[in-house]
Amino acid sequence: MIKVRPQLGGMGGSDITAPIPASRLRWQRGLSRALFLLPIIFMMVFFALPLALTVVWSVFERTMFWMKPGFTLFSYENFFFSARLDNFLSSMMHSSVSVVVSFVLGFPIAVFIRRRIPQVAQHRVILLFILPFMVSEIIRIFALRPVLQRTGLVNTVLLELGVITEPITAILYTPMGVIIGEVMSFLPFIVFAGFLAMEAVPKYIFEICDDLGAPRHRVFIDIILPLAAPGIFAGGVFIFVNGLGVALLPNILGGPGAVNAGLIATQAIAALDFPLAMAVSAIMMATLLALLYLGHRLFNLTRILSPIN
Amino acid sequence: MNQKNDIAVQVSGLAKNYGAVQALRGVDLTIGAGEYFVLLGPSGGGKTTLLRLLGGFIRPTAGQILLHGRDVSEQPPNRRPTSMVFQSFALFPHMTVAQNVGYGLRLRRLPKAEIAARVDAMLEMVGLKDLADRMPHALSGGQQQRVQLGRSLVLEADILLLDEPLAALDAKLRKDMCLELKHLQEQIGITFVHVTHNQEEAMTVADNMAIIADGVLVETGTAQDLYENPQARFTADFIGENNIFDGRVSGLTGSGVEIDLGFAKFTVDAQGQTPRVSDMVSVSIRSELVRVLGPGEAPEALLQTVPATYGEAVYLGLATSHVAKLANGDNIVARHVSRGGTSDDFEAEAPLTYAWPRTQMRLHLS
Amino acid sequence: MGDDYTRLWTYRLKWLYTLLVVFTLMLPVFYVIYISFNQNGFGARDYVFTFEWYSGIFTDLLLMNALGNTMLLAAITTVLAVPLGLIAAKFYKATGTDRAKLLTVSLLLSPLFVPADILGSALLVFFKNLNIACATAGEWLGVSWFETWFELGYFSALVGLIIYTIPYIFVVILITMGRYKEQQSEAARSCGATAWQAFYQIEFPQIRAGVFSACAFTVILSFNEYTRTSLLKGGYDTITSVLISQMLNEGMSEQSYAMSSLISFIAIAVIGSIIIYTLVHTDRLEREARAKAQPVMSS
Repeated sequence: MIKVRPQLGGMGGSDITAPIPASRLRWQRGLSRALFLLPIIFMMVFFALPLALTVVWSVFERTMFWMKPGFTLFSYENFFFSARLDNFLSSMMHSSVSVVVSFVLGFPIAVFIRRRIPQVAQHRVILLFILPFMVSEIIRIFALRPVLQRTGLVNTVLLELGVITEPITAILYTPMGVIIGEVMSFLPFIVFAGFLAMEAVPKYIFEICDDLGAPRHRVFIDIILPLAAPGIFAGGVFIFVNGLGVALLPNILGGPGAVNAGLIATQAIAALDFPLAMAVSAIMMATLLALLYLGHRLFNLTRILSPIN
Repeated sequence: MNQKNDIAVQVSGLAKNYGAVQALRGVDLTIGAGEYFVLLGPSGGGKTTLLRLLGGFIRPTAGQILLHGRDVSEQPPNRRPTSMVFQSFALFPHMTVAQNVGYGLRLRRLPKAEIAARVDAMLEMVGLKDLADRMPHALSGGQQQRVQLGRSLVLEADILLLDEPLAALDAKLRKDMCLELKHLQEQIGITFVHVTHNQEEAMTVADNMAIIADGVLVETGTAQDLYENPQARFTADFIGENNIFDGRVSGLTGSGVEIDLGFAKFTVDAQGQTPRVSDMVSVSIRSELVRVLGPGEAPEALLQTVPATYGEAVYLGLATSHVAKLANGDNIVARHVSRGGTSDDFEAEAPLTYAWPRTQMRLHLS
Repeated sequence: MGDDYTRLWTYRLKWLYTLLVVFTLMLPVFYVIYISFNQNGFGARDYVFTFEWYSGIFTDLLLMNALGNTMLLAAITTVLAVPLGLIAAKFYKATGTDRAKLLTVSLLLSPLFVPADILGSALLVFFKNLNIACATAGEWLGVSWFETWFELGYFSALVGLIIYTIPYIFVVILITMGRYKEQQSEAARSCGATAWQAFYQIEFPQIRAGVFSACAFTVILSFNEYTRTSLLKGGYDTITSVLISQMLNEGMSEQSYAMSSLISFIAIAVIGSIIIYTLVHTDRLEREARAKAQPVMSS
């Protein structure tokens, strides 16, 4: 079969494989590039930019209904030299407690799923933890009231069982209530983060440890923790920051006077004190960046992304 | 038949950098139309990069690619007269074999009847006649590669690019498919550009070969050229089993070059090259031309000899390699066709003489 | 045998613990659903089972209006955010430089780490400023057609929702794309396909499941979101804003309990069916995946 230059275009279809002129090519390439940069541009304009600008706005002066450009540290003074600072710091403490509690309750689950459940079933079990997440956070938080309150479910059950003689009031409208709310809301994330983090721990390590006869807790401390550290840290930061920032939690569960940064910001906006809200936001962002930077220096957080790769 | 006089691929000054890494540096290459051309080289040496540049999957950092006279350096893969066969996993898993093969034809909006006819003909040609409705995951490795071939060949492109198409197959199957590829190409007549790191595969199929290593084009030639008369030291090292001696030019006498290797001095024919005194050069000799002289056996004239201390024999079926140590500590290998029995056995540490015809030595300046 | 025996029991214990935790997390939801069927509403002693609050949803104008707004927002968010996430995922896979990859990932996953109130506040001020800028520009230029672009309304709420949901979309799609082999797109291009054709005809059919999961996920997340939406939406009602305002004031109406239960139930049903779907299909997928990964290489 001797072939002379073949032309497939003949039967009515255009020759779709013919080279196209350079100018059209450049135009196509430019369009393609613009399209692929679209998400990044969107996020920079509507996400990174506003958050960065909070610093700028936080030094503006407050006016009756809005704010005017200027430079004043009044909002920061207002924040740091008032009761707000104490509240902020104590809410940081509560968030930290939530992180620890979530870790203790949730991380073993992640380890368990990784180690004992067959590979193919693992994702399905993890998906179970998405279920609570599928219900609106407001319902989940608000529904804690009838469960935790004086006449609520927990107290009723415990009274009936005779475990206590008087209803417990310390679990709602107190910092305890906020902590319970945070743990309930964010526990799934520690499970996810732990699960992803455990990818960094290869299965054969456990066999080696068994061979060497290492006791269980040593395996945990010396092997699992260090390798899974980036993921655990990220999950912890997530819970900590959201605990500080979600206004609903202290609002509904915290009782009178309970605030966190998010609530301060939202209240400030309701009071039309925008520079204050921006100051709080800027402080929160600074805290977050500091934490992430710290984590990166300690653990190299980019390791978390390897499963996605 | 003008085909053979056309140039299918003309590459000049082609280079590709990834940041600081130079995957390909300034390659010039010409491939004639209708040739089966192989790019041979070690892994990571740049041959796949070159192939992908030809196919349009990467854009060059510098240089030009002309396919059948047209500059396609900036064109995307679907706008080039090429089609590519991949190493594995390249069949569309959600389509049947027939749908896979007909994909490109459907893109060109050909009438259904014609597509069906061409697909049938092509399946017959690649030996998959009864498998038209199978799904790719139900095929063996060799069958999958055939479907890929069919999918590309049915488009009647000018140039077929093959990226290590047989690398994932078992050794025996590889040999069979090699010959089939060769026959296919002879039958169809278009240019094939085939990348591999496997010498035997390359030599089976190639009309012409190019050795690509470390991002540069080392040498081109037919299989026989490169095996028997390699120009570059790298080629001698890479193809066949050669003994290579490095030394310095210590004298030029007429057409002979005297080389000082430390433990011996060789005189080699210059073979048209022009070395200068005190240049670093290499000499190579094919291990199958080297003989081990028995103790007491006198060397004939025209034989280059070196004393060596015997090491061991390595039995490889067809051939047995006799490895010995030279005075400077390097190994020297003599390969003989295995003769049954123990008549070839030498004692370890025995002082022996290795000899080969002087005229068969090749000189490498680079 | 002793060791295997104890191991089995610790295994079962751990399973029990896991399920217990899930159950506890779901407890408030179950409670809400429980209440929604009570004729006497929340807190009443006598429990009378009834469906009347569920039918009451559709006559409650406040809820219906809010539902319409919420559905609109959820739909448009999905239509905008999923393609954006898809493009970002493709970009992430395609870029060679580590820096570009890092930038993409940080930008797209950061919203997870920024609490809702903070993001909402910052965006609120951002949009208000843009609004002022547009108004003054309009006065200065004498035209007014762009003046209402950045008022707090649908657009601002959409932006908030897109930013909220995009990390989830990105991760889900990236994970799905992990199984896809790029050679197939290249083979398609080699056959004459344009980049779009290679994507739509070859890649998309294989990542479809992930994209649709991402869509379902986005709709559910948008329905459930409160803080960002409430800060950014301006005047109209959404389901979550209605619920909150009721919660904080006179208490949730019975229809609201029913509505919350209904939405939660649907969300759980959708995700549950996705889980079950993968369960049922896993055998076939496993077999195919094994065959794809290791076809017989000797014939």
